[in-house]
Formats: sequence, C-alpha cells, structure tokens
Amino acid sequence: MHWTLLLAQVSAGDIAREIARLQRNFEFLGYGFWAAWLVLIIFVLTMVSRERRLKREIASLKAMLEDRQNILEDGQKK
Amino acid sequence: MGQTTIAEAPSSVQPATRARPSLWHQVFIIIAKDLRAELRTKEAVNAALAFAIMILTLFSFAFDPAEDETKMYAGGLLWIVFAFAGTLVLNRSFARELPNDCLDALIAAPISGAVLFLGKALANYLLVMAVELVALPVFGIFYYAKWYSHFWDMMLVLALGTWAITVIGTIFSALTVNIRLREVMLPLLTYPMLVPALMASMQLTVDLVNGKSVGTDAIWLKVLASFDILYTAASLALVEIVLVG
Amino acid sequence: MREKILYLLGLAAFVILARDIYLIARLPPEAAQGYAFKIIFFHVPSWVGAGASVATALVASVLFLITKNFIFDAAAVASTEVGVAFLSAGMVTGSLWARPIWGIWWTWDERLTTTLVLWLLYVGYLMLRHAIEEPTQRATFAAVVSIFAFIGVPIDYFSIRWWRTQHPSPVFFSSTGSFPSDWGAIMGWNILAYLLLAAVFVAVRLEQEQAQRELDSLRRLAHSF
Repeated sequence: MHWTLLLAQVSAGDIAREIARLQRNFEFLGYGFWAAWLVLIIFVLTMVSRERRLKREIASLKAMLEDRQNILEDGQKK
Repeated sequence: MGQTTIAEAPSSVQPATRARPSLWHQVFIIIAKDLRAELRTKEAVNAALAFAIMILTLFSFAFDPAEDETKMYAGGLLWIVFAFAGTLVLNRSFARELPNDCLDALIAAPISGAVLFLGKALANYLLVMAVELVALPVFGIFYYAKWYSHFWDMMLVLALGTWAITVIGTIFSALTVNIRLREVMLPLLTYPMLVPALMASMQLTVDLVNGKSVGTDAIWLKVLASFDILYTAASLALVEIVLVG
Repeated sequence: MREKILYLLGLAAFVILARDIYLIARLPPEAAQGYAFKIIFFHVPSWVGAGASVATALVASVLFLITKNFIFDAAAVASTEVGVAFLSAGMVTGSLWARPIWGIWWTWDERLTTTLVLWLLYVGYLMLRHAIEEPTQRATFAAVVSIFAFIGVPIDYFSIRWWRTQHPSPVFFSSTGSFPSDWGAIMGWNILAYLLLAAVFVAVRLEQEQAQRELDSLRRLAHSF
C-alpha cells in the first residue's frame, strides 16, 4: 500500500470525526436553548397555577364571609 | 436544667441593692450558667462525642485508612465529623431554654441580646472544643495521622474553625429554636453557610497532617479569620432582632 | 393598568429574546468551541438576572428589618424565588455547555461549587419560610437569613482568583477575553431581556404575595366569626 493512500484514509476519518463533533456540539446547543426556556416556562407555569389558586381561595372566602355577614344581619333584624 | 436558669436568676434580679455587673461579667454569668447546666447532665457533650467516634468508625469502612492516599483527605473527614458533632451541641443550646419558659426569662433579663449571644456562643465554643480535643487524638490513632507535628498550628486552625462553626451554629440555633422541624432546619441552614470556613479548615488540616506548616496555604488562614470576623460582626448586629423579633 | 404594563414588559422581553434567537442562529460557530459556545448567550444573562434578583432580595430584607413594612418582605420572597429560578437556569445551561466542551457535566471548581452553595442557601431560605407560621417572625427570620446568605456572595466572587480553577475567566470586563462587538450587542440585548423578565416575574410574585396576605387576613376573619 502506498503511503499517500494511508494519509488520505486517515484524513477522511478525521473529517468524519470532525463532522460528528460539530453535530454533537450543535445538539448540545439545542439542549442548552431548550433548558434555558424550560426553566423560565416552569417558573411561569407555577406562577399561573399559584395565581389561580389564590384567586379561587380569595373568592370562596369572600363569598363565605358575605354569607355569614348576611346571616348575622338577618339575625339582628329579627 | 431548666431549673438552674431560674435558680441563677435571683442574683441578678435585685438591681436596687447591687450595681449592675460590667458587660464582660454579664457574658461570664451566661457562660457559667450554660456550662453548669450542660455539665450537670453532660447529655449534649456525651452524645456529640459518641457520635463523632461513631462517624470516624464509619468513615474507616468507606476509605481505607491504611492507604497513603487517605492522608490526602483525612483532614477533610475530620472537619465533617466536627461539623456533625458540633450541630448536636448547638441544637441543644437554645432548645434547652424552652422548658419552663427560660428563654423568655433570659430575653427579659436586663442584658443586651449581644451579651446573651456572646455568652451562649462562648459556652458552646468551650463544649464543642472539648469534644473536638477528645476526638482529635482518636482520629490520629484511627487514621495514622500525625496531627501533632505542628501542634500549635493545629490548635490555631482548630480554634478558628471551631469559632466559625459555633458562631453560625449559635445564631441559627436561636433562629430555629421555635420552629417546626428544628433538628432538620439547623443543619440545612448552617452547613451551606459554613462552606468557606470548612473548606479553609479542611485545606489547612490536610496540610498539617501531611507535615506542612500553615504558612504554605496562608491565604486559607486569612479566609478562615475573615469568615470569623465577618459573621461574628453580623451575628452581634442581628441577634437582637432574632431574639426579640 | 399595572397588570397591562407588566404584560407589555413581559411581551417586550419575549420579542427581544425571539429576535436574539434568530440572530444567534445566524452567527457563525465560534472558532475553538463551535456551536456550543452560543449557549453563553443564555448562560451569562441568567447569572445577571440571578445576581440582580439576589441583590434585590438583600435590599428588600434590610429594608424590612428597618421599616417592618410587609411589602418589603413580599419583595424579598419574590426576588429570592426568581433568583433561585435564574440560578437553576444558569447552572443547567452551564452544565450543558460543559458536557461537549470539557467532556463532563459538572466540575467541583470554585465558581460552580460556590454557586451551588448559594443555590442551597436560598433554597434553605425558602424552606425556612415554609416552616414558620407566624408572619412577623417568618419575615424577620427570613430577612436575617437572607442577609447572612448574601455575605457569602463576595466570597463566591473572589474565590475564583484564589483557587486554581477550570472555569473560563469572564469574557466581559476583563482584558484577556475577546468578544466581537456584534456578538456583544446581542449579548447586551439578551441581558436586557432577562433583566426585564426577572423584573416582571418579581412584580407578579409580589402581587401574589400581597394577595396571599389578604387571603391570610380573610382566613383569620373567618375564624373570628
């Protein structure tokens, strides 16, 4: 086998490896972007669910208090 | 133990007939009270000591003490043991005052929060130091560590590192005494806070165990000293808020 | 009105981020590190956002101890929570960068370690808040812990110079790094967007904390009947 052929083979392997490295590199860039967004999205979602819970509880408590107020007032009228 | 606090009280309750003791005398009274209360039962000290020796034994299964490599981190293990055992003593420091409302009496006493804190911290310091001074030779025997090759350097590191553990531990002991999950919250808050101090102490102890003097890593001595000063100042400034609320 | 301003600010942050992603995608790969280097466009702004939140938490905690006004307590929790979220984002993006470049997910290097410690401290702060029922005591103790935790920040920052470290030295504000100016501009916009996001998050959480206090007082009222 001639030595130039050997060299050519090695460099072809190198190119393949380099492409694989870039591919992998790119993949992790994608993961990084996703992760950065995911953390923000999770935070927003927890905020939204907390907001819902708060609104629901405040509404139900206010309704309950109003009911009791009405009952008290009715009692006083009688 | 609760009763001792009450029993000590009358001596300082008659301000009309007696001049108020000086600040250092007040600190000394708190130290004496805490040490007496602890030494009558020795429950925290004994538990801490037994715990320290038990962890030293358990570590010997995780790492082979006979290997040369172990010498490179044996100094680190020592400080983990001290931090764990110290927490046992510190947890009791304020919790001991809870029965019979002794804590409220202490807060109502005519002394400043800083004096109370300093007294408690120094009492804890002596107790933790005592546990460490017993555990240190045991560590030397179990791990073939020549901790005494630079004896006074070792004592300096021990003194500074222990003060870091006590000052943080005492202020957080005061902070967590009334809350749920006290036993869990105290280590959860103190250990991350202690990281720079433990890191510095471990580094210096590893040097000492391997026959070097503290001068080779003087920067860590400075880290340790500035940690002590910084957090002592912060604790003294904030303790009144923690105690009175 | 206030809510609308918040939504508008959030929308602005989102638009800037979307535009930046488009621009970042068109940038050529960096010479030595290839595409993965571009993670820095999210990594650094996360730290800036986290730093700003944590600093806000400290100021709010100190103000609470001085004034005993509960709005500062609410601000402290709000910004600490946002700070923890951004610290997490910074650590996760950093980890995803480290894997292809260093070949490891995590290294016990000084800056990473102390960041993790800070994260643990602030998580401890949030857990302490859960463990205390009484509002005044909770706010006071939390403020003290926050101040203690913040004392750790300078130690974090200076330790990179004291310990031999694997973390690349900061590309900004230092003479050794080189960062092309158009890349710098995108980074600047991204940092702005993250800061906006942090501000909006803190504002929303602040309102929620106040709603929570209203809820608690309503509950007390309901019990007193």
